[in-house]
Amino acid sequence: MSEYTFEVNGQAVPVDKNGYLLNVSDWHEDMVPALAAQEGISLTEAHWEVVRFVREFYMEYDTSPAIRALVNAMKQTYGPDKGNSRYLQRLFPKGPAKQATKLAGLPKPAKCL
Amino acid sequence: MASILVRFTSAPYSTSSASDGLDFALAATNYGHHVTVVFEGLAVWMWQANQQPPDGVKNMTKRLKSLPLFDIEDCYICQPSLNTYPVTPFSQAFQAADSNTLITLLKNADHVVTF
Repeated sequence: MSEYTFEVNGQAVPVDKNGYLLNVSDWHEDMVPALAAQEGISLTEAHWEVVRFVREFYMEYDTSPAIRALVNAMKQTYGPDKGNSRYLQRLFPKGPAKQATKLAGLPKPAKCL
Repeated sequence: MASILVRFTSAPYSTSSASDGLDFALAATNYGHHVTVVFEGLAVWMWQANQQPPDGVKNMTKRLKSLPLFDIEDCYICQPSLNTYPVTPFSQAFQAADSNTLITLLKNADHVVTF
């Protein structure tokens, strides 16, 4: 059993000391509101779009996107209105890559060594 | 901001070297460094199509596809190594480098890191 856990629907999910899920496959969309609450984020459809996007990014590239890759990939898919760091920073004030990957149940991006 | 040449020299899954090298390269771009990658020797197998790594091991094909999103555009494969090993690359998102090109890459880099 992991040293740290995250409680959701009466179940304890193992996380690292920063609250990131240890197993990508443990994640479920039901967990997102609770993870968002931990981060002080009130979820909107715009947040969901980014959370699902980083989840798909990880499945496609086996890599959590750091901010630059997230911006580049968002730009390719949604254009410059959403593919820019200001838009993402407004949604995830404490760091879009860090917070969106946490909500999406992914490991921390490589920058946060 | 430095220019860093990351040399991959190990087979993709026999040790963690290849994976560590990718982690290093991606992390370096996040600090604003200009990263060039080169694949030599057994590392050319990282480009083999249809890789099936064991469960829980990251797939090199997927990770290499993400390099342009991290602004790693300068990607070279050692041509003599490609001649040695019968690799069928899954993508042509690299330039083949002969010995002279490899020497130039080494000379032009501020730092060279070998995995």
